[in-house]
Amino acid sequence: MMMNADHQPPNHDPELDDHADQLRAPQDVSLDILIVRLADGDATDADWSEFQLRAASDRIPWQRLAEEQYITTQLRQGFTEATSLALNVRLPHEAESHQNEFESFDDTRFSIATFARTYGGWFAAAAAVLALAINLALPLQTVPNDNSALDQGSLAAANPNNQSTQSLPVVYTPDQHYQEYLDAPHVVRELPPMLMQARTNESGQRELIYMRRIVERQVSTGLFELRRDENNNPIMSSPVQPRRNADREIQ
Amino acid sequence: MEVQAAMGGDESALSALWRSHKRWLAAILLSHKPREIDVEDLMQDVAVKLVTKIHTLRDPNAFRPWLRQIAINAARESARSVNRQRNERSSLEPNDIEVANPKIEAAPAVAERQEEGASLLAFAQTLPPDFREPVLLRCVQGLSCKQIAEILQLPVTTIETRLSRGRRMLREEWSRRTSEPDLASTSSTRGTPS
Repeated sequence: MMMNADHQPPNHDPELDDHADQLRAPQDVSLDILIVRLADGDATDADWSEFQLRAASDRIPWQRLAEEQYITTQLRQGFTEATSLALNVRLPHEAESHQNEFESFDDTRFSIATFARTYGGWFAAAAAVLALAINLALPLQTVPNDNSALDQGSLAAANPNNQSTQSLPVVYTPDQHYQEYLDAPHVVRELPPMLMQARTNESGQRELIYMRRIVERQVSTGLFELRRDENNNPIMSSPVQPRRNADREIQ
Repeated sequence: MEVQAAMGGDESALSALWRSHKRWLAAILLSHKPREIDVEDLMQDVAVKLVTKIHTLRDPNAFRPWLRQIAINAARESARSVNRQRNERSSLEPNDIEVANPKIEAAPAVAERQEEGASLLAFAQTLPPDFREPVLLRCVQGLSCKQIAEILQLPVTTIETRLSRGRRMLREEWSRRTSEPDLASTSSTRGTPS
């Protein structure tokens, strides 16, 4: 344990002695600071080394680091939402000039709105026809597959002019798919991840194996009871009626 | 240079100062404001005071601590105002009191994660004062511990210590809340299952 000349932990703060009930043992203070640095992206190589040393035989630091990263992200999101309106506040002289810009812009918008209402339908129809014509005129565009020469040959055969191709379809990343799943109606929430193992991989990097836990809900239209007959064979008996409470609506 | 120009009445310099400092000002206001007051209202007060009092600043190098004090004073004044109103209401006869207590229902569309962020922020605002400011200032994107130390006029090591302890309290509170997930309260925010 590192100590300074006064035999105190290096980050001992005498001003905080009044908060003794909230203080931890001195040896935990440095770990908390390390975790904050790591979670905030301010850690040096020496910080990482010290953290790995402390976490070599104990999974708790890794768990605390995972929790810290999650909480920090959530807190920052809450902070951003809470201050979004406040950040639009202008100084008095800025507010006045902004108001003048808005009034002149408003006149422009009014005239554009009037024009759009009058001729908008015709323009929309013309734009649709133009888009259809362009779509029919352009050759099909595909993404060259980096994996094989066969696809390159196929593309060359299909496109004798050997024009470069651009991708059009939208490709979702696994994270986007996962996010979409979390937004599904039957998903209640995601619990905090549980760290299973921390190990060093072949590249010398620290690898975290953690479990993601998802809570889902399902409404059952009929509950059957599993019973045993006289020969101890499992059988499904008649549906079990859920207990109804007149004051509570069953969801 | 910018501060000195603003002190001399340069409006563009004043605007530039406001743009570069208002994020951490919002964090200071969140740390000290009463719950009933919106942070954007206090920002308006601070903006007006900045413009009207910038010429009273004596040392341009002390601009950040000076601005912080303006923000804290604005928050404290609003807290006193809230207390005054509360005392006035309590001195009225019961028949004279019109209690406005609208039932606030959580919008079903509010995402679980947004609620968690807001909940953590609300708890952060109840931390002891020494920890509250560093924790909330650290939420400002791009604000380093060194810059926080300059704003709060404290050593960087003190800031790191307070920040780590404040965040530890947050972690412990969050662990306490999530140790028994309340499925009944969350299930009502979801629609019918697929």
